[in-house]
Amino acid sequence: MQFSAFFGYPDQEVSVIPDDSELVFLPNISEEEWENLLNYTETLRFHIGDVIINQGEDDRGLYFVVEGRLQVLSLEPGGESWRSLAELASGAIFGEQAFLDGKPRSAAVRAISDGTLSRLNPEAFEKLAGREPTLAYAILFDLGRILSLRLRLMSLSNRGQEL
Amino acid sequence: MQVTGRQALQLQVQSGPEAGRIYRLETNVLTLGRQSNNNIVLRDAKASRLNTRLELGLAGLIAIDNGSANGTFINGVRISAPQLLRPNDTIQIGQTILLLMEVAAPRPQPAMPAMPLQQPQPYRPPQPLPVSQPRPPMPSVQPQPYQSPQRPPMPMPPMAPPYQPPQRPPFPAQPPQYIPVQVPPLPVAAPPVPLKPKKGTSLPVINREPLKAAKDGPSFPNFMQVSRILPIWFWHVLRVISVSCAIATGLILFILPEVGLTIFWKFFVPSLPILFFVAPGLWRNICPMAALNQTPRLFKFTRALTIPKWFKEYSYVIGIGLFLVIVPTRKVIFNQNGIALGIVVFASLLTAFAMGSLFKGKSGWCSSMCPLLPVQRIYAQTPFVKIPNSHCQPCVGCTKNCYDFNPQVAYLADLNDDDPRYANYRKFFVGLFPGLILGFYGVADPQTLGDVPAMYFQILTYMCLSLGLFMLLTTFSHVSAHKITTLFAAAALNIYYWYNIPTLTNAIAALFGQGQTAPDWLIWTLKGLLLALTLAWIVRTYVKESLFLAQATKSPAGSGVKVGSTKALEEHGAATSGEPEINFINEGKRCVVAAETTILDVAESNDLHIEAGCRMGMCGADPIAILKGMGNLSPISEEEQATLDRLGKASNTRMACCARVRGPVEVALKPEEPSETPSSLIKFDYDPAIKSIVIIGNGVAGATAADHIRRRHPEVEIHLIGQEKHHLYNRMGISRLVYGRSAMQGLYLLPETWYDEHKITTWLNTQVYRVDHNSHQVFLAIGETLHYDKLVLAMGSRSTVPPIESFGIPGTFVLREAEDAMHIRAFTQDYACKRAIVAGGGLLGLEAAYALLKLGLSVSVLERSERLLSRQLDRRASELLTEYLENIGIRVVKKAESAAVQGVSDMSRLPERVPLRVQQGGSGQTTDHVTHVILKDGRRLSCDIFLVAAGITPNIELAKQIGVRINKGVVIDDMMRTSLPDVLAAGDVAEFEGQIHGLWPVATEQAQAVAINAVGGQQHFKAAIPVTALKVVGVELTSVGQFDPKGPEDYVIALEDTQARHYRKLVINQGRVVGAILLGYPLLTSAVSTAIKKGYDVRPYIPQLQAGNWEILGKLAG
Repeated sequence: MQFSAFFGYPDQEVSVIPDDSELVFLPNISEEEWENLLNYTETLRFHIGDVIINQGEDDRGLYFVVEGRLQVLSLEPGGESWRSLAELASGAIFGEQAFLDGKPRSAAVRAISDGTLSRLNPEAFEKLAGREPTLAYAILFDLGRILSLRLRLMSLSNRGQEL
Repeated sequence: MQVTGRQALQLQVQSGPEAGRIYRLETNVLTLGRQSNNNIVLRDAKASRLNTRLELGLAGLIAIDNGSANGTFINGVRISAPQLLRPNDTIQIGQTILLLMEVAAPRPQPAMPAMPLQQPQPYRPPQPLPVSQPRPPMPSVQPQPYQSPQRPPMPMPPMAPPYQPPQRPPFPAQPPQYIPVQVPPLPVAAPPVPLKPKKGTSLPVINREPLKAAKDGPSFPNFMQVSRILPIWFWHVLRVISVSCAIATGLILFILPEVGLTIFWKFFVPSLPILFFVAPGLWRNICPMAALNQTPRLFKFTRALTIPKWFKEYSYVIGIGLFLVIVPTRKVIFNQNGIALGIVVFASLLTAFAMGSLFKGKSGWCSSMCPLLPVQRIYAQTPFVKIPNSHCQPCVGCTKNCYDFNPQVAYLADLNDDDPRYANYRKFFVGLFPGLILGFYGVADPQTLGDVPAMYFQILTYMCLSLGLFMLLTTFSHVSAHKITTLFAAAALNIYYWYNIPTLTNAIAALFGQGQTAPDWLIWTLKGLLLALTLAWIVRTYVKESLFLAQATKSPAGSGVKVGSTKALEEHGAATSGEPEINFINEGKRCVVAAETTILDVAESNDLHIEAGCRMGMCGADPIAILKGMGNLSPISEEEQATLDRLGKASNTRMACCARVRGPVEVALKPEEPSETPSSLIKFDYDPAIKSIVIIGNGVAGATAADHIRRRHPEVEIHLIGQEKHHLYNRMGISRLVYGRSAMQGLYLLPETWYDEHKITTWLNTQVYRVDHNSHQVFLAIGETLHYDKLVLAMGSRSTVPPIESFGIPGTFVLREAEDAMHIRAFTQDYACKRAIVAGGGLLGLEAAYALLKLGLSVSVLERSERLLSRQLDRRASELLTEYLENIGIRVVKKAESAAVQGVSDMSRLPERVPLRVQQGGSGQTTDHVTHVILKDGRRLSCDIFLVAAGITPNIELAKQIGVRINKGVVIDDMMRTSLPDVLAAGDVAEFEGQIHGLWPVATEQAQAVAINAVGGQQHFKAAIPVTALKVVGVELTSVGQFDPKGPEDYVIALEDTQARHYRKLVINQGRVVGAILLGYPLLTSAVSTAIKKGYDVRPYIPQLQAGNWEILGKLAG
């Protein structure tokens, strides 16, 4: 379990602990470019209780929550019960790991309200890359940056345990 | 302000939204403001975007206000000019106040753990292995599909069994709507595969309210995040008093032991547990031991060492040990002997002080070996009154799970620690604690020295029983250990006060007069109150635990990433909100799409399991069932209706590629069977003299002809002879056999039973040896002879292979039949191919190139001419397409014609590539494989796969033998007749008006005509302008008719969307559209092709067309 969030002692390297303002996907591209990116996505509506992604499923979409709330769940070891990892709300993105590595989904996502998602699949991304290579470059680089920050968070939280 | 070597500056946020945060000043310039590109981003609405700038100059740190609206205040005074800062100055920006602090420079990096030095050792020859222990055999290399690191997983193509959705556990909390689309085969080289839900695993019930109450700030704030009511100096005063009292008590114990013992045991000690319980922060702040422990830090003479590792691990155990020794020993010594107690008191104070002068923070005593710490940890975990730590200014992060840092979660974090021993020390203590208290009060004081061991033993027995009970409960109950520790703590506290409330109240009463005792009702009321308080505490502690777990189990991987522009997302959402919704019932997907999108496109772009073929409703690859909203789709065209009739599914079936969405629909991707088989028979005046028709070729022309013959002639015998092993399949989908997971199964266009139901005798994998037209007989190579009244030639075509030297060695392919696709996929895996070259930049070549790219190869396309798709695209469109291909990673080599391929036969040169299949075969006869292509201009390109897609050649060999007239193909008239009576032809083998189209729609139309003419009807075939509407390499492409102007009378409208790289072009001749190119405009295909087919006069609409409004083409009449 991760307790580092409760014990963020100030002398630990504050500057490398990613804060929320850094976990933003494509903060610096223009509204037009965002619109452009979203034009390559599919729009999906969901209702409360819909399972958007199932754990272990083969789905490579990158999702943007346009509206509504969702819950990230993962199976406890043994696979007999679920635990909730996080909640997602409007403006959140998820699914970037499988989008990049194509592996089966590591967690499930379920709707806990009605809402709307935008979904970018690898084929659409390929089209985007074919037509707008600079935007594609920005997307990939930023996804890489976010994953790297995640790795940092994880290694930090492991280090926090050793105090 | 000079910054010296060992000093560093930091800014601590004193108040405002981010109170408690500390920023190091590590650069010479530091900007503060609301905008995200500041060094310190203030989430403060009153701050300006670029509010303030701090610069480190020669004089020191200078603050400069950037003309902000609300200004910058230094020590409360708004500055108008740059101002020099000094330590402990406050900077106020908006509502945020920052304190400039000078701190010790970051400690140097700790040294790496020493490497054990290895003594150089004299060389000794390796010992032979003992004979009795033979070396284990090398694990034999298992044939595994090659997986290259940069490639997406390449599972083996699944075997024949039909696709079945796998059984997934239902989610009972909600109606089971989700059915997985496709389950990935397990990767062979097993990366950690996420667990999948087992049957019956239910998702937790949805908690509609977020668990965390919508409060501002974190639910477990640490001491730096809570606001302080009492100033620090006030605490210092209290500490002076508490240390004085402690020293006084110690002295009294020496001088007046009786008084001292009473004060200590009757007043002081009985007050502590309830203080820990209610307001532990008060004690932590004023404890005399802590005060002395922190004095060296306060006066900066502590050595601030880091505690040694062993002490870190065992300090808590030492504390427990001390506590367990001191408590029972009260009965023997400390209860009676003031001097002994006084020594303990002074020893504790001194030890605390000494540890504080050595070790940093509170790591030497308060948070490690203090014997009261274990008791505080369990009683003080859910304080009723929260008083923030006022010792640690600043926090130095000295202790794991520091109680003073975050009191509410420290104990929980301890218990849930990943190190079981770390957690078990805590559990051990709480387990025996009630036993210790009960034993202490339950066991009689020893009267003689001889009773002492028995007393210790009895108390030990109590502790063991308590610990045993704890063990029992934690082992067998289904609640968390923390719940049990809570109960044990509650029990310990109540047992303690059961005995001590009388002591305490009587002692207080005694103050009022000699011999006074407290009344019983008071004692019982207090006991009741304590119990009530304890119950409240248990509830609060449990609630806190669930909050804690909810937050602690949030993995960092799940922490929310936000989009950079919620505005764009909202606008996008608003823009799509009015658009129709397609509900794919079985997949649980509700897709919102632009009107006029085909259901096929929607399903494909949402990765739903659907096959695609001609994309014109003719091949029949993509039938779906419309469960609701049939009226919200585009009407059924003639071609689609013909296909629907052929498939014979339920009346709610549509072809996904033709059904354009105009309103909400509910769709199942699997068509439904009809309730009664509708008769496909068409009333037709057939020729009963025709008894037997033989069709050679079971491609689309042959099979469609058979279908149409049967519809019109219920009795005639139909023989359908095919060279391939397969029934009619979707040839346009074979590239998915290369890169996808689909097996052949998904490509069959008609169910196997269809042939029997329609009384069509099929001869698969069968070759025609000879036809004797005089006797109307077909001789099959397997020895059978078939008689015909009418013979239909539909042998189709094959890939043209231009003369390329050595073409045919392993690794050289064409892609025409399903078998080709499967061979390419197998070869790629066997030979671990990395580079592919596709010769031919036509539609088929590009499709093949895309398939290989998706399989993970690096692909080059060789184009003979100067541009790709020269038969479909003009120069500009071709340029755009080329650019797109290069961007997605397909290299285009122009003016490149292959002359030869080269291969190797020396296997040893490529050890890592030894094909497993070949290795197992062992014969080694097919060891050559392609390594290079030589172009006519001499260029030599390396490749592992060489694929030729240079057009098609009609299969005319048999036709030659029969003796029909042949030009490029079998020459037919407009009634599909060849030069011989009773012999007809259709499809790719047939040449009509000098043209062989090689297109699926043309073949189906010809097949229909051939059928009617074969059963005695009269049908004239009219060549339409071919419409090529394809989705190749992810680009929607339509090309119709004459796409380049032939002379000055041709008028051209060409528009380009440079941003999206879309392109469209109309060629108009005498007011009629005669040709068009649409690159990226799938929604316009039908309008444009209608306008061409119907020959509308578009002259009045030229301005609209030039303005880009091409939709009107579909709305014109006559």
